[in-house]
Amino acid sequence: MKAAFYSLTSCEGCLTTLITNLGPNLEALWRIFDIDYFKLVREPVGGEKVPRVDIAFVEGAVVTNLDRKRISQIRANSSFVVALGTCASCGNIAYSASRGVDLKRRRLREIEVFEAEPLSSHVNVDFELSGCPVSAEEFTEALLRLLNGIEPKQPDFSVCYECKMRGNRCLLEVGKACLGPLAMGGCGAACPSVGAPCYSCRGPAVEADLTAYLKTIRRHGIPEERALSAVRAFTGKKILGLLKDGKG
Amino acid sequence: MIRVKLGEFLRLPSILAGMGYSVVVPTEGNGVTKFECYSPDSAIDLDYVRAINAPRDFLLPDGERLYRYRSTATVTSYGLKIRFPTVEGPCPVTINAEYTAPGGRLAFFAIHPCHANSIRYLDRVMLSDPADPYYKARREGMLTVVLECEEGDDYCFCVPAGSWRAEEGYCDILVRRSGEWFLVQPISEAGREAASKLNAQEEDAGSLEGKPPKMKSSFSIRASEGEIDRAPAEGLDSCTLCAACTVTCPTCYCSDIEDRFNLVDPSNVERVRRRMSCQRKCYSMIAGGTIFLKTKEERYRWRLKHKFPFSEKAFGMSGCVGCGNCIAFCPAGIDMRKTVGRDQG
Repeated sequence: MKAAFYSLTSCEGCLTTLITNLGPNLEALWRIFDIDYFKLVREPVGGEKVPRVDIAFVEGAVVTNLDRKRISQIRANSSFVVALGTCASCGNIAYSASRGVDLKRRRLREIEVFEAEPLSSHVNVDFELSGCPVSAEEFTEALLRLLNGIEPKQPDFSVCYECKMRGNRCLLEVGKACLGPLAMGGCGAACPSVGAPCYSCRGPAVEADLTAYLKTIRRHGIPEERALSAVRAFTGKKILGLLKDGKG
Repeated sequence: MIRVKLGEFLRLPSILAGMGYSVVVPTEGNGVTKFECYSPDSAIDLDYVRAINAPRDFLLPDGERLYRYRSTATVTSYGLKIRFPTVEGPCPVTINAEYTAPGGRLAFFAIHPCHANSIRYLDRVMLSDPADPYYKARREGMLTVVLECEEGDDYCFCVPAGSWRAEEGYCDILVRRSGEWFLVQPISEAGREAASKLNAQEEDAGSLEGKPPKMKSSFSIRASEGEIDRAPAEGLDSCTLCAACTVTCPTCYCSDIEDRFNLVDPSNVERVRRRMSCQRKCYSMIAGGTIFLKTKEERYRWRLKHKFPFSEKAFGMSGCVGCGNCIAFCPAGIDMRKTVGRDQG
């Protein structure tokens, strides 16, 4: 089976995380798959050409004209496209950072810069794996489910679920604008467990409800603006969509 | 009955550990009390009114391995697509289950009567025919040290729920606080053995009878299926479906089964049991993606119906022990007492 790992505009943190955190699984990955394209590990087999593969992992947001071309080539040559990380699935920081900026002046030779978009704004994505960076365990789990012919799954719960499971005190109670009730879980509530509020780096939960969330934080006396600025900063297209709905 | 001071009473967990029990104690940290496995430097909290987790977490742990199996599936070189074995051919898997029973006996130190009753409820559920072998193995030889509550907090309602008394078989040692003294009343044989190792500062001929704690509110619970359907469900518009109510509930036992694969050896599969919550989307999802409990209100009423009328019917006891965790830990402050409680008089 063939696989490839691509990088669009991003910090390459997701692929780096996979290399550093997969441990013995990284070797197994090379044993199981023919990996023609994984630039961070070795020189691509066919040069810059997009190879025909069964499964393509793409990190990063679609920002430049080169990204736009690349992602449609990847889609055309891959049976299954997995968006790797929050940039690819939601747009992440780049999404809100590139709005309201004069992008025409940011042109660099033949590279044109557009407002950042997640992969799904341009092509059909088969599965999205959130996380900033993506978690190596979730990556392996999704991969193995695909290998065994089972549909990979996204967590259907919010960060609160795992946070309560770990027996943490609710950060809303101590007046911190935690985005836990809105954010997609699966991270094991890493930040709230050490007392840092969640900023929803994995995008919104499947059933996130912004109106209910704002009502809840009002009950705890947390200013709405503080939570909303965190929402705007990190969570990209999907959660800003909620913001639009929530505000009417 | 014997009387001991605090220092001596706190020796009980290490006595139990010495008797071969894995001891679970309430510990305080970061502003919450939770049950944890005992170690000599555990910060044991005996003043707690509520704990964020419950004995359930130790009797039905999240991610418990049920068994391992070898799948004969191999990685092939044909193109990748999602397929289901029953549609395209026989299931390519032979199952050789490897099962090891969980070992060790559990001892719960300083749980409240509501916790003892939650174990009683779980027993009814998990040990009714067919008995769950994993639960049964953990449950066998369990010992409980029940510490009575003097007064409930704003959310407690064990007296209206009728679960303030630790029933027979669910309390090996009953403890009541009286000033600086702890009155220790061993009830079962195992309890007597453990209590005999305490250096009693004073013997007392009398024996402890259960005493109901003081409650801040008094009401009666009316929760038939029809009543739950008709009653108002207030505050649900601020519910974020975080599922804190079911995670912190000492009697929620719903679970999901998950296969964990392994990349280094893909044919070696581990089957685990994960906790599940009726507030989650996939709880009521069936093949094809249809969901039965779509709205917050449906899920909320479902939870209450499972706790009250369904449990009464199936197990002969209410699934709610009145600990109030689902109210206290709800970020939105949703109070189920408004749905099932009727003011007296």
